[in-house]
Amino acid sequence: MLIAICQNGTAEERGRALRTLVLSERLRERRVVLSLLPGAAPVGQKRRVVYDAKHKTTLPGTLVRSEGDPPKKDAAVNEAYDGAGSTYDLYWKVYQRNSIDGRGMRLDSSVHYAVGYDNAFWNGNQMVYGDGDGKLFNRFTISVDVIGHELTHGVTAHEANLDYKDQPGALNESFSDVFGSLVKQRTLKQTADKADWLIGAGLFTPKVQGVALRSMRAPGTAYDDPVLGKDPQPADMKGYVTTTEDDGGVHINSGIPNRAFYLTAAALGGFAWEKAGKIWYTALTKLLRKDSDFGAAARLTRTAASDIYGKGSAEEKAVQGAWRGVGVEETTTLA
Amino acid sequence: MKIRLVRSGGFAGIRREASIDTETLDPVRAEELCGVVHSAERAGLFRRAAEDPPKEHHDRFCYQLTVEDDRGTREAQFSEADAPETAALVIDAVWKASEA
Repeated sequence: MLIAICQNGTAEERGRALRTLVLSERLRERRVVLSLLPGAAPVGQKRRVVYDAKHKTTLPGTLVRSEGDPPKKDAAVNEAYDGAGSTYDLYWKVYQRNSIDGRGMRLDSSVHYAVGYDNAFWNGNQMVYGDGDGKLFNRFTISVDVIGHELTHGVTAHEANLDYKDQPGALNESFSDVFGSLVKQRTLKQTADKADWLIGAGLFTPKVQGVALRSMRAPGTAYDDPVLGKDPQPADMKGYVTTTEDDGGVHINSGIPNRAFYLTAAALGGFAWEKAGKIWYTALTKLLRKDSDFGAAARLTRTAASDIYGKGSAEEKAVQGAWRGVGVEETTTLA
Repeated sequence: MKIRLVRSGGFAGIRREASIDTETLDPVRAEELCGVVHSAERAGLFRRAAEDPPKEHHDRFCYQLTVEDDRGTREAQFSEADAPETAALVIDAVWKASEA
């Protein structure tokens, strides 16, 4: 019925019905139908816009750069534009996904959000970047994996839609780190053994004792600073942190699945986005559900590897070995 | 008044905490801070149920605020994504007081 409203209703009805459809967990089955509706963007064409929030918290702000415009003098504007482009390219050229929603959604970014804001986020419609306080943090567009991370929250919301809490939340965070890092690796044409596997390298000012916010290769080692404290990420299940803060430690326990991805990519060698990335992308878009936990992710990434590369393949074994390496046992429930 | 504020989450996932005893502040600053907290309290900040975070909460900050005075201990938890305006004023005032 919603589809009928989208096709035949008034503009307002269409908008409302389409939003409902997009929010629906059954979107995956309906993508084919959605792509037939008016308003779908041409396949394989980037559509980017960057706004300047001018240090306020009202979004999106003033439009400063649209698709095809030449670079501006503002580094944050250009980084947001280029980073959104690199992320689009990874999803389109490697996984044949047309933007965040799979149907050419425009990529909107706002830079210079609030004053001295030490954060970047995805608000459900667009990316938002702070300038950092300048004392500990630089601007958040400085690192392309931050941009890939935020856009991937949009992809996840349209696919497995993992709950942003506890283990499903840590998986949601981890998928954002994985594809954020792959955007960077692909931009730099790095193989798995040459990549730094860091998230947010360049974000800290020289005053901070640390190389980045997170390390996928060695979670818990990215920083150790008198002001910020020590990187709290565990590298395996023995270090799993149970907490009510941070939505159940979603930015902390993501270290465990992050390292499982790194171990898979390291075992397979070559460009990480080709095999390990494809396995993770398939699990995210076809197999995982909103309440999937680490054990389900272990089972479903292995299933994805087996589906793509064959039962008993080196790829399947690499995935299995990686999750064992971080102490996650596959769960056999349907979650 | 004793105030404890914990911020967690955000893209960086770096925890920030401040504990303030307003009796150790200079009287003008202490009065300002207590005033901001009382306004937030009148606006119902501590009556908010511990709800699940809002849907669009990815990489937003999570806050936990505890206030203790002769009227007892009150606690509030909220996301940056749907924090009431009065809460934002409390957060700013607490960080400022803790840096002073």
